[in-house]
Amino acid sequence: MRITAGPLRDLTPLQVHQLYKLRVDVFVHEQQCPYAEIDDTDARDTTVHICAWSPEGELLGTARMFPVGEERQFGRFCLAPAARGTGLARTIMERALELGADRPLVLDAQAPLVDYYAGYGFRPAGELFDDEGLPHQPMRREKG
Amino acid sequence: MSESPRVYAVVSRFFDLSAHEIHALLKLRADVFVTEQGWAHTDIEDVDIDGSSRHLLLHDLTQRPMPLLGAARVIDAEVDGRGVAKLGRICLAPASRGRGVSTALLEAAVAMARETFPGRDIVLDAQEPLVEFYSGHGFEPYGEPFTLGPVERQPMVLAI
Repeated sequence: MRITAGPLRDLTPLQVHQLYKLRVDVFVHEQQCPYAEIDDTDARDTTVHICAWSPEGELLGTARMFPVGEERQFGRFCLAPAARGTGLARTIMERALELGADRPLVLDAQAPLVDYYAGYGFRPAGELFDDEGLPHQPMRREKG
Repeated sequence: MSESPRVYAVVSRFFDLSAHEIHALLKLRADVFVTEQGWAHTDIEDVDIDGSSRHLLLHDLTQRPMPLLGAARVIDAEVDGRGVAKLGRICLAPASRGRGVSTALLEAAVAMARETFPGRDIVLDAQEPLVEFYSGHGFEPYGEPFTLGPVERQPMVLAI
């Protein structure tokens, strides 16, 4: 397993296809949520796409981080069905915490995942809100 | 209303597009077919990267950077055991609608289908409100309409 982290322009055409396909398959189709999954943030040079690749070059999981003001936003965190329950989520999360250590990290947790993120030092910051029918909890982790 | 766009059509295999072109293409498709049509489907498919598939990206030459006005795809398909060129994922960005771009888009898509699969009939599954539009460009209904996602579709063919 190999992890890459960088802007969209560093990915090959096949890798961009894999990245967007996995995210649309998970967040749009699997979660039945027809929202704007691919956005302008994806193409910015300051946005880091963290990708975990199998030895055969399949995309196993991904997340993205980008600066917002003094903070760094973490999101679009998902695993391919075949990679779930393998411990890969921890590997990706730890890489994100390492890469984003210079600023406070914020994320909007899908409500059932609040405890999961609390295990990585994120604390609820603000009110629960509804995003496309799914309740989300803003969370924050201080830098370091 | 802004001035009419001057359209520039690029036809490419997926692998010959840059990361940013792919971003613009897949974002436009998701914006139209997922978000605008409220259809939570798997819009990005393996056939997109097939070596025989071609993608049309229609740009506006009057603006910098050139925005993506519309897009379409042609893939290798079969109807009744015969090879056909199947057009799909034909879409226009909201900002480019009502500006005379749709005809340029369809003509470029048909030209792409002819060049990619010479000698084959060209088929598409027209979203019901667009049947008349495609009829105006020579496409004729064949087979029964069916529902896929939020809209009814009518198979249509442009015979060679």
